Amino acid sequence: MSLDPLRELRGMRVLVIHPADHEIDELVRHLRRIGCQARLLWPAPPALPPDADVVFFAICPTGPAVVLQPAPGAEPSLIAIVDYENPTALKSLLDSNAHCFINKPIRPSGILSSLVMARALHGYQGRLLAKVAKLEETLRSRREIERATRILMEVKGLSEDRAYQLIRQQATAQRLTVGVVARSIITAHRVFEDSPEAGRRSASDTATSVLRLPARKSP
Amino acid sequence: MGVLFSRSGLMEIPETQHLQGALLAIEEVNAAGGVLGRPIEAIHYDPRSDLGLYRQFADRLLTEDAVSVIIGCCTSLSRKVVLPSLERRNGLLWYPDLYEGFEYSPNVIYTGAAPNQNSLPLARYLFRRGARRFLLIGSDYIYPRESNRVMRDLIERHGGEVTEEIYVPMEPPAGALDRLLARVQALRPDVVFSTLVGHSSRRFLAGYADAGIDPADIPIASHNISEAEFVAVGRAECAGHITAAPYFSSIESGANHRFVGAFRRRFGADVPVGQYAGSGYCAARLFAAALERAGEMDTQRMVQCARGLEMDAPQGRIAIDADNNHTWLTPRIGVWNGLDAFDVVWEAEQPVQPDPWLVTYGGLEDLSDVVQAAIE
Repeated sequence: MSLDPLRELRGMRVLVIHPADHEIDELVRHLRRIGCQARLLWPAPPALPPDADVVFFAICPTGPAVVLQPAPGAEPSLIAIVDYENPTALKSLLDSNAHCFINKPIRPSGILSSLVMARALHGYQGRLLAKVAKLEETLRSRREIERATRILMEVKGLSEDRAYQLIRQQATAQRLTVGVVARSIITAHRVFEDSPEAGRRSASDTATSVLRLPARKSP
Repeated sequence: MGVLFSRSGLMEIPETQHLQGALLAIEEVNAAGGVLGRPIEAIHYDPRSDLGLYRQFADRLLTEDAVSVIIGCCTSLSRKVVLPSLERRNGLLWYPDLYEGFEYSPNVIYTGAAPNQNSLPLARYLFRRGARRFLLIGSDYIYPRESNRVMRDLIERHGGEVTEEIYVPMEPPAGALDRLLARVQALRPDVVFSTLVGHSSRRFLAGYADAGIDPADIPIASHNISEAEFVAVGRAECAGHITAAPYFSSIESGANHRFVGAFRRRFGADVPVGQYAGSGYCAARLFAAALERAGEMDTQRMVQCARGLEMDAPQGRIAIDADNNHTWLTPRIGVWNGLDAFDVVWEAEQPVQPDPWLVTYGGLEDLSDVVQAAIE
């Protein structure tokens, strides 16, 4: 294992949102000991400040001590400081979406593990979410490409393969994704289908103009 | 004060040195009138290098003997095994040995070297000598694995190569050390970095001499092979092996001459005096000084008073860090002279702050200057 997960901790900006007491002082000191830039913040701010990589926050039975909505562009890893383990507090812990937790009374051993774990899980979660978003986008494009292909087949009398190739060529020529080109075909098609003049102008002209296709006779 | 060092078993050599250093310190303090007019009484148990006994004796000291302060342990395994008892009963351990770092307990004062005080200067020195191909060997437990991880990282970040990383059990079966020697001969690295501990370290040194591997060609570099180990091996062929430590008996200073003299008067004219003796001595002296400041044996009060404490030790000025409970020490590199002492070939200009998490590891980028200089 390389030192990189630990190197990441150097200068990491860690915010501790918890009322000041002896134990919390020890937490902040220990975070500094292991190389983090730690600071204590209390009373709790109305929202998470944008300049934190990691936020330790108190879990009260009524929920997290701070509104955990991150500022746009800032996605800190969240570590709950758990005091009570009654069902209400545990529900708050789950609802907080914390990536890890530490228990009170706070002991120096365990803090580093929680920190490393939270960073790793948060990173993994982030990668998974990005992948899900990408898959969803691909899935949607897939459907749109199918629809656009059908439109071209219908209005231009092309084969499925030829219609798809046409969309792809346009995407390459205009430096757009295949999905975006497909979407514009669908949109244009819908606009002219709905328009009162739709009957006078053929849908094939529409698609052609959208795609800026060279004039070409249908086979 | 409880004293928990082994007189036999795997860790016999270093822990005997720790014990003697600590006892000498306690006797000196008592001879000078004790702490606040009262003598320190040492209760020593010999755990015989058995982890179960460390735990058992620590419990006995903290309960039946009503002792709240212990000086002891050498391997990280023994420290980890007594830690839960100490934290539960709020005792205080003065831990004198070098170790791999990454620990902080409010119930421990660490007076041995942290990795930034031995691994970093050692890597820098070896690179400066032109070493690029390193063979890493060690006993199979946390200290060697962690030290090798740090060493491998340093080596690879600076363009060196780890030819192999080999571990043997703490008490290696017959033939295991011979196989290690065969690997040294087959790979012919520029240097062997050894984190073997206890008897296997000594047996490996003897085997190295028997096999005729010349330290001038392939030196063994370590943190933990002290005067005591080399004297016990007793081979002139060991000349040239390299150790990084904050203390060597050959340090030229009045304080060190006095210490070495007192140690030999007490334990024998011919006994070796190594870093373990030095660190055991310092830990016990620091305890006495902290107790004098605290005026009571309460653990938190004593830790508070120990922080920032400075002392003129045999190795020079040392101080307990104000925050992380580890100790400011002066890193040194020694080359064994084959007879009775190390030639100190390099020392830091001043004590270096202990950095158990290698927080300022980036500051070691000056290692690349060394590499650059060597290339030019």
